Amino acid sequence: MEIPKQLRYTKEHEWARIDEDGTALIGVTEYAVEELGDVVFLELPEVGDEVSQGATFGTVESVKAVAELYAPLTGEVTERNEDLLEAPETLNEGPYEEGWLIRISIDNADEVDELMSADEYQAYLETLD
Amino acid sequence: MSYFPGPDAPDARAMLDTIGVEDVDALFTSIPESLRRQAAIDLPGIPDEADLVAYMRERAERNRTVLDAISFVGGGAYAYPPVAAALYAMSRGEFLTAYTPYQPEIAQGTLMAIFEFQTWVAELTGLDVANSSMYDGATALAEAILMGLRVRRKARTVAISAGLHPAVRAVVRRYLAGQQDLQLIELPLDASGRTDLDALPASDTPRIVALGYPNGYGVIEDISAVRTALDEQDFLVTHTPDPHAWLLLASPGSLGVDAAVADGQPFGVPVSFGGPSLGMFATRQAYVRQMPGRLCGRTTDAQGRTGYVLTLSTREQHIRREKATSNICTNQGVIALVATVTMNVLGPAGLRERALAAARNARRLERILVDAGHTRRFDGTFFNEFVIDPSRPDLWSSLINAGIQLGVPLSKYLPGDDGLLVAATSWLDDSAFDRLSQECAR
Amino acid sequence: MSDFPGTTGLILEEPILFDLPGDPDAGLDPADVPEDLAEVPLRQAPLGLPNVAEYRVVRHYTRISQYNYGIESGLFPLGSCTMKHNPRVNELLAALDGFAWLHPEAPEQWSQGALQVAVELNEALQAITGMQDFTLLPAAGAHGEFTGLCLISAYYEARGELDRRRKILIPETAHGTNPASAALAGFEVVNLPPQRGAVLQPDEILPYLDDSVACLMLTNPNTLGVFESHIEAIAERLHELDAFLYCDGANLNAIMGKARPGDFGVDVIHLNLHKTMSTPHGGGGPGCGPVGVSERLVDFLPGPRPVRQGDGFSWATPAQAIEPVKQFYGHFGMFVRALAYIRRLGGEGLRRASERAVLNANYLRARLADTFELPFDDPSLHEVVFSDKRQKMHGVSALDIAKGLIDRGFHPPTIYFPLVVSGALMIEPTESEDQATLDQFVAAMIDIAEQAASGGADALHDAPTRSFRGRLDEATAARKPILRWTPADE
Repeated sequence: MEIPKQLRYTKEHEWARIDEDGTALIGVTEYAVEELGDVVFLELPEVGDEVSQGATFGTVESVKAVAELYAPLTGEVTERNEDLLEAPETLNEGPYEEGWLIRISIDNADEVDELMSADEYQAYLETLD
Repeated sequence: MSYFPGPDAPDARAMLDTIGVEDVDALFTSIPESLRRQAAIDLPGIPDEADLVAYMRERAERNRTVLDAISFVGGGAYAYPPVAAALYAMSRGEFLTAYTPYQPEIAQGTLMAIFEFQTWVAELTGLDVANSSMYDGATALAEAILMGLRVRRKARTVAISAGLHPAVRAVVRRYLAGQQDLQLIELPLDASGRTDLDALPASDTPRIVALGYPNGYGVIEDISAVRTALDEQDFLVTHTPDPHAWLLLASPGSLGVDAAVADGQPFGVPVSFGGPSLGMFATRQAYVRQMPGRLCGRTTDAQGRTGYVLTLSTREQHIRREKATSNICTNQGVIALVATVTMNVLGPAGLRERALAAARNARRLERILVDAGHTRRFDGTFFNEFVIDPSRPDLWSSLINAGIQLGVPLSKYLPGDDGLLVAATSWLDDSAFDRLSQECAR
Repeated sequence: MSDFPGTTGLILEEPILFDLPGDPDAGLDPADVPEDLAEVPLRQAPLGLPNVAEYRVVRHYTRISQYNYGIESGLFPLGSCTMKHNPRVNELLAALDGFAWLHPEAPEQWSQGALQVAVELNEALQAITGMQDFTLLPAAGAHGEFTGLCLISAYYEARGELDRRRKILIPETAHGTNPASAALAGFEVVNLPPQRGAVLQPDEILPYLDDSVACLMLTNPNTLGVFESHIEAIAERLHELDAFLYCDGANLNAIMGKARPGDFGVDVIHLNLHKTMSTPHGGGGPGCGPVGVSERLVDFLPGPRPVRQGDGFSWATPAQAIEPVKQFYGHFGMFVRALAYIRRLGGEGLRRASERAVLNANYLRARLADTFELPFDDPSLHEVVFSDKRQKMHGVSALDIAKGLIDRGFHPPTIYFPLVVSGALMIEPTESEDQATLDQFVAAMIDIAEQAASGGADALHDAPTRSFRGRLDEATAARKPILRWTPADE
């Protein structure tokens, strides 16, 4: 299973890519997508909405399951993946690329330290079933 | 003979041996002894089928039905002639004894029929999408209001028209009682019997507004005027007691409603002392993921052949539990099938003929009653139902003694109200009207 | 595979009805409309649906009915759904003119027979369950749950405690309708954490018990088919706090004549007459969900309700009645069927039905326990829950097992429920089966397990192949929902 090294992770299986412009790109991991199966629908916040670390910011639905999305970091939504809303199956095809969810401005850089590294996330996954 | 092989049938001994127990009682020892009953349930059996038929027939025959009295009764249940082919379809075990179509490969019959039902309801209401049915028209209205509260999240005001049938209003109140911080108000009627919107409080937040089309007293509300008077963000729902009205009147969707519901019983379902009937529920495409109830969608199978499945299930209780759009876990199944087959056998032409006959019969009824000196309470245009204020208080009971039920006394719902809610369907012949004229002349 | 009942007859391809030849709608001719009615806006455009000849409509529904599988087709072992034989005589009785054409607003003196049926059914349900009284108003089980919780709400409201009594405790094994109904009734759902075993222990609810609790919703027998053996003690704990024990009575079919909910401290119970009392499931409904109550809640039952009065019957509304949850009093047509079933069997026959149902479930358990994983070894009553654990090792899931059963001529059991069992296969044969049928089912299950173990996973992923349609693309259906027919799109 792919766990890109440059990303940071949450226990709820979201990833964050910290970019140099002080924003973060946010998505869900391949593990989460495989657990869900075929993704059919997403609910994402609007541009301008605030999200806060650990709080839900949307949902992702497969045919027979609904999962809440938890924000890895606090900030304002600056962009959301409109193409993904149109074609939710993109999330199954590339959760780390075209399947990104939202971009946010990072309010508090210290929060990044609370996220897991790729190695830590890998170890965490091994503790699950 | 029994409906099932007994616990002591010839095969039971071998089964008990396979399980490894002495007798059937040994299988119940997980029930604490203090709770295990020794005494039999005190209910006598009627083992012979013919005796059972006689027993139930004796009860059936002590009822006086719309077939053996003259009935000008509606108020939420309307007797139209049954369509034999629809009752035939219901009687087929493949439909009648199937479960909810959770295994779509072996439930395509049920699913295709639901898809046809949804198509009819969407077409009749002039709205985009319909669900597979709710319990009845009243619960469908309550669920539509709850859906309005989900799609207009900031709404805190629900205004229901006093023109909705009192029993329908009661159901709505019961369903909304669990909602926190909600203002539920009732909009009064004007002299025409239409809802007076002046009583609707101004609000910065969206309001949910529900009224009848026609309303519970038969009056056809001016929906486009209501829509114009409301803000764009207000959520408008209509409830139709007898959906034959949809064949004649401008569709609710064309008048700008957000959701339309009806009780579908008049489409070929026997009145059956009030149930089962079915709720029809339609709304706009934009709200589809907030709809209550089951939805059937079209898709393809592994070989690319057209097929149908239950879809958007993540809205429902078995997946979303306390966050589901509704707790409903059934639709009205074969009753929706009866309505669907009835609509298809009659077709648009046959349904419209019934609607026109009901409207004409109601006017014939009105003429007889007005000529006899009784007054129609509201002057608003009606479809097939209206309120009469009788000129003498014993009119209803004297007609009952003559084998004629002239509607529902409103005092049943509104203590002190002397009015009668009367209705006509297409299932009335000349002799019914002649009898009424004679009795009214006495 | 030839030993199994699965086979294919002449099943005809049939388009959706609206694609059959028919005359297009001509629309409304304003000249036909009474003058005064023409003053309001009338329908302008014709309906976009055809007028199809009756013979073709009938043929259509006969053909598509053959795509279905019902109880009258064969074994239907859906756990928690009690798919038992639906006696045909009950259809005949519900269709009697005296029942089918009685108007709900007919005067009492014209409704004596129907009121009597309702009262007698109520009394029979009291005798079976030991509850004080019933309302037959609710249209289905979930509707009954909502009604029962509204009664509890009314009780606390009358005591001025409703602001405080917010919580409803729900164990993990509960049906999804339980939390959904609790939320609809305005309560806060407290989902209990995973419990230690198949039954709830009193100490597992203790940390959650205080005077903010309105009730605990417990299914008994529970969804694992196991009797909640501590239910009396649990009821006592709740009653000490003036809280209620709500029992989901979906599984009453296991205990008729063997134990009564009224004896184990239940305050509210809903029954599913479409399960236990043999009324047909109808491809999804209508159900019928009467609610029984203990003494504490009798005064709150919704009205008007049929009661005995002198030698006859009448409608009455209790002093503190809650407002109704449906316009007319319940699914009367289902009352007739259920009462007919109860009368035909009598108390003794009902006990025998439960005994045979439990015998059948335990027989399947004994025959399949060597092949399928049994996650809980507590004694089973009317249903047994296996899991796909052993087949999963070969890449075969509960879903694949279900689809494999279809190819072998059986309706699958309930899968993936209860949620506490991963890959659950929940099997409820009911009393309506003999050993020969159960043996065929066992052979089919073992055949699937053997296919899974011998490299047949891919073939099972493709199942079913012998049904009218193969696996359907549910993902596309949900992504771009097509929910109605339109003429252009076929």
